[in-house]
Amino acid sequence: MRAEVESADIEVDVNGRSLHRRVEARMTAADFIRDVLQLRGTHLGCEHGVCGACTILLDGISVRSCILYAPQLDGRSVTTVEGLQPSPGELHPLQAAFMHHHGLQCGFCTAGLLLVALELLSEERDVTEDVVRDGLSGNLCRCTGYQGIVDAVLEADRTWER
Amino acid sequence: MATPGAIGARSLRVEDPRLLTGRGLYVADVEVPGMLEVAFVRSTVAHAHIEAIDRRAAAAIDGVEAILVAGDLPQIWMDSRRHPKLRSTPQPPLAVAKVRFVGEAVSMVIAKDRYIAEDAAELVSVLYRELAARPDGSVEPLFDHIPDNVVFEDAERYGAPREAFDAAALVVRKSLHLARQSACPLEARGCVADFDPAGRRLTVHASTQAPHRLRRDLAAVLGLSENQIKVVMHDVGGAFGQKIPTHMEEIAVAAASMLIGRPVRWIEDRQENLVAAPHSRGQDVDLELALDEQHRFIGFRAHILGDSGAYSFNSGSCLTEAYRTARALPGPYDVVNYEYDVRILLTNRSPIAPYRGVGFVAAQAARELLIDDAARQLGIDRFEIRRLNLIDKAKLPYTTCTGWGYTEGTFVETLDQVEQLLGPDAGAGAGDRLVGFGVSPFVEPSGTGGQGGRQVHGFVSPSHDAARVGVDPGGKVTVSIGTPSLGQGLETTMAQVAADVLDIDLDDVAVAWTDTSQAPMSLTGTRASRAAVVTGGAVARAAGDVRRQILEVAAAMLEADPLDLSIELGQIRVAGEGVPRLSVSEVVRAGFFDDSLRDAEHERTFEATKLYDPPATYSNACVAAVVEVDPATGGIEMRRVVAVEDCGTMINPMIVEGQFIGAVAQAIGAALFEQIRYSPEEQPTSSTLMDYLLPTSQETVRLELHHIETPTDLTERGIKGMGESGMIGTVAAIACAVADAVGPAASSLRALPLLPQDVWALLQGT
Repeated sequence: MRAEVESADIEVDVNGRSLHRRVEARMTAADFIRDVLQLRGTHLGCEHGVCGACTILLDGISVRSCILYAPQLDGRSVTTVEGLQPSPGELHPLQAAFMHHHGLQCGFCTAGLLLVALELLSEERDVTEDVVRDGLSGNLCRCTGYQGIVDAVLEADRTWER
Repeated sequence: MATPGAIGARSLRVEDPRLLTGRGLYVADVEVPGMLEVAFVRSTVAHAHIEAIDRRAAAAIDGVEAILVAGDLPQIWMDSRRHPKLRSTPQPPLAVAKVRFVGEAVSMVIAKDRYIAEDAAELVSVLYRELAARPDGSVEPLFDHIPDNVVFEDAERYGAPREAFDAAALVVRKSLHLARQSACPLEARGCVADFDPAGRRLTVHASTQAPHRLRRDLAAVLGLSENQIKVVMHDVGGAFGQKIPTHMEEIAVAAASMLIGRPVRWIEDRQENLVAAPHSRGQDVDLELALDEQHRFIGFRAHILGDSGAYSFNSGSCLTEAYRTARALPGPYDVVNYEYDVRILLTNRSPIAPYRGVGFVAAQAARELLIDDAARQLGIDRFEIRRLNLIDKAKLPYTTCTGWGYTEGTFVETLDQVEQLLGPDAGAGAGDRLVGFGVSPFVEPSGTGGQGGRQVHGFVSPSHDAARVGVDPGGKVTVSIGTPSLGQGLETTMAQVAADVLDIDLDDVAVAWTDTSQAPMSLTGTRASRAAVVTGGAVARAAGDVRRQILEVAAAMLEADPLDLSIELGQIRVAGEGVPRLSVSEVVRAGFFDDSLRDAEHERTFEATKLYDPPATYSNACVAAVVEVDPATGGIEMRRVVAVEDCGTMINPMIVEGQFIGAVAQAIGAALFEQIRYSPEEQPTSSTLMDYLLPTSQETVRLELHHIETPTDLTERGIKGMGESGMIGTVAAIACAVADAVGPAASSLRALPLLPQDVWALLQGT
C-alpha cells in the first residue's frame, strides 16, 4: 500500500540564495531546512512549538519552523543561523557578543536565540535587561541560566551598528 | 610568568565559533549512506501482558524496511548488580511478554524516513491484557520474584542515635515529598548504529556522556568484543545525567543494525523523552533532628521512600536518588549520631536515572527546611543555628558518619559571606507581598575517582580516566580525552590545563574527540562533577611527561642539564640567561628528524598517555535565595539568588560561573515549576513542554556569585569539581525562602515543587 502523499514545488530565498525544491506537503519547514537543504544549524528540541530551538526568520519575523510546513515557505525569504555571518570565518557582532559573555554551553538552543535576539535588536535600541529578558522568554535554554545570553544581547545592542 | 589563557584565566571558549555558526555536529546531524530511521512503538498501558502484536498493516506501507519485536532480536537482558541489596530487574530492549510502564518500547519500525516510520508505527496493533491495580490500591508485582515490589531496602545506624533522641531537648520532624522530575536536556536522546556484517564491525554514534561504558555494555550483550565496536563522540546538546546510562533504545538500534545489516538511526522526540526517558527525584523523605540545650544537632533520623520506576538496571540505578539522599544527609554539619532506612519501590513508571545533584538535592532540601523549623521553634537566628553546627576549620580533616572525608572546606566562611551579601533587609516586605529568604550551606562530592565513588556510594565504584597529550613537529599540541563535552567547555578547559603544564600559548593547543578506538579510556564518562578533576588531572600528568621529553631533548641540543631549563610561552631558556635559546617546535622537530638526538634507550614520541584516579574531594558552597509571594494567588517570584562557592582551583572562572548559573536555573525549575505527573492509572500526563514547564529568562534572576578558592592538596593543581553545586544548594534555599515568606505556615511546607496553588493553600492553613 502506498500512502497518498502530496508534493509541492516551492521557491524560497534562503540566506540570500534563491532555491527551488520539490517537497512532500507534510514535511515540516524545520525538516526541509535540515534534511533537504542540509542546513543543520537549526535544531529540534520539542517539535511542538514551545522551546524555540528551531526558530528561523521568515521575511524577517521569528517563527518556529517545527510547526510550519515546508510549502508555507514558498515565495518567502528565510534566514537561518548560517546566514548570520558577514563572511566565512567572521562573526556577526551578536555572535561575538555571545562568545564574550559565555552565552552558550552545549549550543543546542543557540541558533534560535541568536535569531530572536537579532529580531529584537532590529526593532529596539538601548534595551534594558527587562526588555531583553522579556524578548527572549519564548526560547528555552537548559544550560546557561540565560544570564550570559542577556549580557550578550546587551553588548550587541551597543556594538552592532544598524 | 603565568602563561596567558592557562589555568585561572577566563579564556573564551574554543568551541564557540563553530557552535555559534551552526557547525555543531549532534547525533541528529549524523548521516551514514543507506541509513534507515527508527520509530518505536511504545506501550500505551502501564502494566499488562502482551497478548499479540499485529504488524501486517504497518508492514504494507511503502518504505518500511522491517518491524521488529523482541522475538526478532537475540535475547538480551540488562541488569544491575551494583549493590548486594539491589534486587535484580532484568530489562529487555523490546518488551518481552509484559509491559511495565507507559512508554516502554514494544516494537521498532525501521523505514526510509521518520515520517513513514511513524505512519507505520501508528498501524502496529498491540493487544494488551491489562493488570489493573488491586482493590486495596496496591500494585501487582512487576516481577514474579519481587512480590512486594521492594527493589531495595537498607538501614544503617551510626553512633548512638537512639540515646541522642532520648536525651534531646528538642526534636523536630518534617516530611517532604519531591515530585518526579526530568533532566530534560534540550537535545533528547539518539543514536546511529552501523553494523558491517562482513567485517563484523559495529560503529555507533550516540548522544552519550559515557562512550566507553556504552561500548562495554554493547559488547556484553551483542556477542561482539569491545575492539569490534567503535562509539564515535560528537557534540552533545545537554545531558545532566540522563545520558549516562546505556539506554534500551541504544541496544535495540544496534541489535537491529546487526540483524538487517544496514545503518539505523533513532532520534528521540520530546514527547518520547518526557514519557519514556529516565526520570529523577520521586522521593518521600521523613526526617527528624534532635537538638540539645545548647542548640547543637545531636542526631538525625531518616526514613526515605524512593520511586524506582519499572526497572532498575542502569548506571546508578534507582539508588541514585533515595539511597544517595540517605548517605548525603549529614552534609557539612558535625553530627555523629544518625540512623536511616531506605526503601525503594518498583512502580509502573519510567525508570529512574541520574539527574544533576542526584539524591543530594533531596537531602539538602529536607535538612535545611528542618533546620529552619528548629530555629523558628527555638526563636534563634537561622544563620546562627547553622554557624553553631557547621564543621569549622579547626575540626578538619573530618570524616562524616557516613564516611565522607573532608580535608578542607569553607563551610562557615561561605555562610558568613552570604549573610553579609544578603544584607540586613533581605526579608523586608514589599507592599502587600510576602518576602522571605532561605540559606543553604552544602557540600558537593566531586571529582569522583575510585575513592570518591566508594565514599559517596558506600560500595566499590571504580572511576578513573586516561588522557593523551602529544606535540607535533610544528610545536602544536593535541589533547585526546574520552570524556565528551556536554556544554561545560572541556574543549577549552582541558586545553588550558595542557597549556599551563607545557607553558605554551593556549592557541597552540587543540582538544580532539575521536572515538573509543582512539580516545583514551574514561571508565565512567562525563558525570558526577568529575571531568575537570579526573580528565584534567590525566591531561596534566600526560602533559607533564611530554614536557619532560621536550626538556631532555632540549638539554641534549644545548648541552645543558634539563633541570636548568624552563619553558615560557613555547620558548626554552637556560637558567640565568636572558634570551631563549630554542622554541618547543624546534626541539620537537629535531627530536623527530635529527638521528643524532635519538638513541635506542630513549625513543621519544613527544606523546604520553597517563591515567589519573584522584582521592576523594568535596567542594562546598552556600546559597541564599530571596522570594516574593503574592498572598492573593500564591504566586512566587524569584527576587535574588546569592552564592559563595569554593571549588578549589578554578581552571576557568567564566565556565565555573556558567555551571553555577545554569544549575541555579534548573533549581528554580525544580523548586517552583517542574513536575512529571501520572494519572491514577499511571498514564503520564506531562508529555509536552506545555505541561512540563522549564524556566525561561523571565523566571530566572541574575546570580550574585562570589568565589573563595581553597585549592585542595589532594588533586592535580588543587582542582575540585562543582558542576552540580548550583542545583544541590538552590532547591533547598528556595524552599526555605518560600517557607520563610509564608510565616506561620512555614513548617507545613511538605512538597516540591511549590506551585502557586500549593503556596496559596499553605497560606489558608489547608
